[in-house]
Amino acid sequence: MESSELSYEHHPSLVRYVIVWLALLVLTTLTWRLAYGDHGTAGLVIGMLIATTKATLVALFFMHLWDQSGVNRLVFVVALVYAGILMGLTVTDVATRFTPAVARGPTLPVPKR
Amino acid sequence: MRPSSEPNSPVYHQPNYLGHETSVRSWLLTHDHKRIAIMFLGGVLTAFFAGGVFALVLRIKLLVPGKFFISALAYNRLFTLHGVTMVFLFLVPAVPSVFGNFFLPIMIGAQDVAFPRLNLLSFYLYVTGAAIALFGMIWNGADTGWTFYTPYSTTTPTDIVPVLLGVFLVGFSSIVTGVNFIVTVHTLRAPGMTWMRLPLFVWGSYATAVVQVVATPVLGMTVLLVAVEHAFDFGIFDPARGGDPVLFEHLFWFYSHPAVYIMILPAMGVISEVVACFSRKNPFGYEAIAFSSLGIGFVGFLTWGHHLFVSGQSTFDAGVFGVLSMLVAVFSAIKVFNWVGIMYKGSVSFKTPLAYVFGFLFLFVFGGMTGVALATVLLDVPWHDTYFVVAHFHFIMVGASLMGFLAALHYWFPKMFGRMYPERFGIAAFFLVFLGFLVTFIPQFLLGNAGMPRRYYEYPAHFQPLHVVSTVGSWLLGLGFLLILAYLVWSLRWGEIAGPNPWGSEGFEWRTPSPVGPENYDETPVFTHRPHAYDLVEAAEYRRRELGDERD
Amino acid sequence: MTEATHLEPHLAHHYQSLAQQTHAARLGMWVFLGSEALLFAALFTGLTVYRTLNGSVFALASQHLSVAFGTANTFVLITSSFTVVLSLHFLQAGRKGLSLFFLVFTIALACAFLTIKAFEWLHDFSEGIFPGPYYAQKELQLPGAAMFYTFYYLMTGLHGLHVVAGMGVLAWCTGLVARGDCHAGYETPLELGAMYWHLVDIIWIFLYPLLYLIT
Repeated sequence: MESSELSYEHHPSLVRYVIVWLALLVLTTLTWRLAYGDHGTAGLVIGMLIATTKATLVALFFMHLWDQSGVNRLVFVVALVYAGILMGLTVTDVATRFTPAVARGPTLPVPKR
Repeated sequence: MRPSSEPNSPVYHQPNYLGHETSVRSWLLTHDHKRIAIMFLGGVLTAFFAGGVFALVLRIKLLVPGKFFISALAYNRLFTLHGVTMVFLFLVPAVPSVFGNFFLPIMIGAQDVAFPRLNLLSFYLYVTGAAIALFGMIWNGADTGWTFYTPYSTTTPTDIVPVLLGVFLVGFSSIVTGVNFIVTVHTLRAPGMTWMRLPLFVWGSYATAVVQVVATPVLGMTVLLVAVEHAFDFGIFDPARGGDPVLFEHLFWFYSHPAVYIMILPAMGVISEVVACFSRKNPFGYEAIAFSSLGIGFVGFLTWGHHLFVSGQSTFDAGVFGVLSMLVAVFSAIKVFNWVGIMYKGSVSFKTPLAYVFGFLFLFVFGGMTGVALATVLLDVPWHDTYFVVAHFHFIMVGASLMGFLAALHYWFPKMFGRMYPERFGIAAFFLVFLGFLVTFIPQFLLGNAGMPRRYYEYPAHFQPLHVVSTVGSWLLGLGFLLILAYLVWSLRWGEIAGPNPWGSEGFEWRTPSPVGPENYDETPVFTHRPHAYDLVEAAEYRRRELGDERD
Repeated sequence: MTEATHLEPHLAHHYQSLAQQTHAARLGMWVFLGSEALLFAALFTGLTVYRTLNGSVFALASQHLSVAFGTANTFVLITSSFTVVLSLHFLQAGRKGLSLFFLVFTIALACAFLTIKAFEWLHDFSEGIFPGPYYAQKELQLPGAAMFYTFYYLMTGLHGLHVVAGMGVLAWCTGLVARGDCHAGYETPLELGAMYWHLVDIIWIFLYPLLYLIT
């Protein structure tokens, strides 16, 4: 048993939780406002970036990854990497098909909300 | 035989994990990883012999080109049953759940796995899933093949939902085992058991556990989607309604290709242990073998698209997957060369476990090379869905994985049950199995090359001679397995008493008595070096003194 | 080893210390949550594939979902993550009453989430938004629209099941804390239960923009 794998017990302060909560609320509001503009692909990218930030905040501070040993952080990263591989290589296929194996939906103008 | 006062005199250790409690309840509700492993052994062997019988029936049908012995529907259902049983109920749990459960904690000096109750849950999930799947198959079983390809699987008139549910539960069992192994290796290593001293079997099991935890949930979701689709007809994979059947194949193979590494990685761990023990050599290239396990565990996730070369996947993705697939060969070759390196100038003794290692090396290299050929997009197009593919994956999954399983069974039998199997029968059975295997599957390479598609009930008459040879081979295989079963069951009661270390192995699990005591070790062991350190002076002296080993 | 067992009632026989056992429990939970994430990743992949194939129809279909319900639920779930972490915080500080209060409050928020979800689904049903072949919305009859709603129901449905499971876990934790089986110095059960709840929150954090806010 290496001592480095034993996590360091530390109870974070209440203030930190409140700050993280407020940050999450602000970010949610931002995502929501995003829906009311025409940002195209940028909207998707920004939306996903915000979601990832929020998820990371929850994992780091509510789930205490910030204070825990490295291996737990590794699990979080590894899960993200493998989910990325699954999604990335599958979507690459669909996006690069020369002749679509399934009919694509029509391209229509999407009105603003 | 030496007098019993000698430290390594053959004694049947008491009390041991098998006999210290004998009630049925003490078995069914046990939290002991060794007893759970023995129950898993019973489960996977039952599945193996059932799956074997299905295969024999299939081969009997294929003796004749036309209608014979069983109906076409029964044939379709039988090959599905054979595939589901062998893949999900035997190969996936075989080495991790039996030998991993038994030896992983012992090898790292732990008393048990991290979560013993979850370990028991894993066994019952397996039993429940297996029962539901088999019951569903026999009731009005699926005829889709074990791959459940849509849109056929979502529209077949046979009952597919019980099978899918069974596979889901068995998958959950696999995840629980994986979680347990990962946490056990991280948290329960005894003093001195650093990462770079982990036995190679533990490295293999650890890499397997990562694959199990990451890949299996995707399979779970996929079979659930097929079940939902079959039951409610949402059109998720129906191309007529904008669904994409290729998406199913992506999701399915994201699990099922890495599943091959779930089957092979722990077997590779076994090979590393056995090769070092019977060559009396330190593991040559220890780091290379250890890290190539992790490498295969990672690269194995980048290759699934080579199952989709003719399915309508984009040519770009096909090219990417083709190239990435070949990376696996690099890591596999690293392992093979290092195993050969271990044997080089070693003091090799040809016992049954090592015989299976030789079998493994031959079949694995053969199966692996044909795999590289199949990963080449242009070559795969004519070979796709022919017997060539069937022969290829049987070389890897039966050839390599099963050889690893049998090597483990013979190598660790004395440790698990305290008695020896008869060596002569062991070698004889090995040759029977090995020859039977070649006679069964080499004709299938030829059949596939000549264009015989897989899963066909009838075939042109000119294929018959090769099919007959293949069927005769399957009988040899069956005979070999029956022989193994017979002498192992005989050995349980009448085998020679083994003593703690009949092989003179420097693997850490051999420091325990045989059969292992209920608590594994009387006191927590302290490790000062790697396993299989045959070059240490103390180790050589110990073997000369206690085992009469004069070879060093 | 046996002596330690007598001194520390929560220590299982195969662990050397409570720190080691807590580390194992946390790591086990993390690995399990990673596995859960991959379960959802399969559905996210399906959604992304069909979104790639159907582009603007998915955006149009998304606009028929109620952003108000979705946004409200996001605020509810994020706040519930906050309250469950408060519960853990007060348990660590030895304030059992406050800890119990925030646990019950979290479960109440979970109920609120499910209630809002139920109203949302009823609202969708009333517009003819059903999955697959039962899809009957008049305003949007385009290929791909039904597929969007199929995934909408599959994903929110599976997430809903996880909410229910999470409520079960939190209720069990409430029992443990109330009986004193989970207390300052041994918070592991509540910590693990809270981690599961956070995962439910994280999945929703991704579902929200991907389902409700497609432009």
